[in-house]
Amino acid sequence: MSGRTWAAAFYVVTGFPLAVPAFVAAAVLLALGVSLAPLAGAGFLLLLALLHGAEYAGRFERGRLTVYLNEVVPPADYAGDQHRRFLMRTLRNAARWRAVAYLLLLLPTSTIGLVFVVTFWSAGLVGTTLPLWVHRLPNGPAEIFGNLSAASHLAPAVVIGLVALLLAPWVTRGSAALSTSLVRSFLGPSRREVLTGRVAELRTTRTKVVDAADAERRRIERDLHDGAQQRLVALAVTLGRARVKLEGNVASPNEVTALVSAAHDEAKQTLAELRDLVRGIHPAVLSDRGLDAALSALAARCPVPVTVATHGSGECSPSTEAVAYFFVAETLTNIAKHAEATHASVTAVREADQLLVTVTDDGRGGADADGAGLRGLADRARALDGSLLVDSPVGGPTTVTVRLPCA
Amino acid sequence: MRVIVAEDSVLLRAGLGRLLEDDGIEVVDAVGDAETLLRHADELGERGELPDLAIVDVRMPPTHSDEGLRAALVLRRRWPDLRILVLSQYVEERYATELIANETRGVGYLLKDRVADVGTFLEALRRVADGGTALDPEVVSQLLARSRRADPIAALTGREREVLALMAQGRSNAGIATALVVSGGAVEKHIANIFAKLGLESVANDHRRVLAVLRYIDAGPEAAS
Repeated sequence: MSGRTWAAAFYVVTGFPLAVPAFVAAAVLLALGVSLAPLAGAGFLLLLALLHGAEYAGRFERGRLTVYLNEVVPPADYAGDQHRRFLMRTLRNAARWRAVAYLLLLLPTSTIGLVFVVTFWSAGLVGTTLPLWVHRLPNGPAEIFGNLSAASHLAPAVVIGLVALLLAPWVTRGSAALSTSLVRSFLGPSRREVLTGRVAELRTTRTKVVDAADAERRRIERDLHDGAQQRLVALAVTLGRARVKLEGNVASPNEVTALVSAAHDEAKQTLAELRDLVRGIHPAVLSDRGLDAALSALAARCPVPVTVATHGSGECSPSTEAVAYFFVAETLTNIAKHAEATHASVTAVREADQLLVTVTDDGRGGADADGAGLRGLADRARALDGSLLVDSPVGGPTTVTVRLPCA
Repeated sequence: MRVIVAEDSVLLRAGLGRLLEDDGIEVVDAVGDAETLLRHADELGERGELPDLAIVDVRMPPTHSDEGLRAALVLRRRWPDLRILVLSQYVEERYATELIANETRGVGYLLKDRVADVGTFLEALRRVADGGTALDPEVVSQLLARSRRADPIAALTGREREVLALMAQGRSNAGIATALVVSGGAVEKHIANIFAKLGLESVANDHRRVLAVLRYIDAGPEAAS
């Protein structure tokens, strides 16, 4: 019998003694509360006690599910609407009424579960071991079979026991699954609550993406303004000076040559700077040759030696690949700047419908997950329904992982 | 020397043309996209007037991705005598390995910026026209960084690594000596040391030497194919 079946059996069996007082308390409070409601005060107090008690009982039940079966069910929305009166807020909260329904339904569910579990296990154990002890009973097999022929009934009894024993783990897990689904549907968030939460999350990520796009535009503007534009101004000035000297016929050829070669150098530096800037906006090799080639190029440009391994990463959408690329670019930049690492490795692996990208280095750790760069990346990942995880204990090693949906 | 130029930027096309003609190189044709390049090269080739060399921009219409590179690969297959110099706004080791996948003879891959250093550019151009190789220093440094043979390369001295990079770019002994401002004898000594440390058989021929070096750093024809 596997650990999981044991856990399921404990979960079902311990549910029953809890279900009885829960049912009694909930039923009594509900009946009294409703019937006394016309009398105002007393009835509502009982209902308040019921609805708040149900929330705590529900929290206990979700906890029990986690402890026994390691299943996490997020809580329903017990805050509810923002009605200013405490009583109205509580009474109108659907999640609390669902918790009450749970307390009432727990009894039949766990009774059924308990009956099935106990029946199958005991039938199994008794049936299969019957030949071992039936002859030691005071009256022998007749104690069980009466005046029926023991010989012809012992074999079917053993067979029934074997079947019951074979089915018992399935029945146990089925009963646990029944209780689990009860917790999920009555104590977990309703479909409406899930959707409301999703809308709020989408609104946040959307705002962050818009902010990030604005910040990026400002950064590009600043880079162009401080870099290429200034260099072109300097270049034009240098060429202007050379022109004046040539026109005035006052300069030595050496002076003019020096000015022209300075202009030449300025122009080449501008080109190099623009190339870096343009690559930072979007690397052409990513669209032309895919993530593997783009990551190789990133690794080749990193001052720290980097190994790259990709597997099945080529089948993801361009926006997923772009986020993965900029994630690696940013983390490699961080590694080169702060980590004092001697080696880093990048892996990009397709897992089912997700792309999992991991960057590890052997540096000194202690990376700041809230740093501007990583936070921006986490926002971009979240906007695609992905997630970013930083594991960087002081002393290293640092592992940063991003998980992105491929579609 | 007769050259065909494929470059979609009118400014750069004209600039390149003037630069080449200043040096006495004849520009037989100048086109703005890969399809026209292939058509014109075929026409010229069928008339027996195939140019010596094609200068091809990687990114051209209609899709502005890598049609120049693909056209260059087609040209190499169709007209093996045509030397090819690929120019690009960025250099990527992946493009380089595709370009030299079957043959390093008479092929070049340079950043467009290099055109600004007219002397060096024309030297690289002539090297390719003569059947040599010209790989951009940035490509070579990417290839070296990506090499799986990091340890033996780390055993080289700083100067030897510089010489190795210049060899991989396709430079001759004289070219290496000029670039590093050392004597030809010193270069020969460095090269002998490099080949000994990497366990490569010494080769005198420049072209074979590029091949050996590239193959060693896992970027040569066999490794890339």
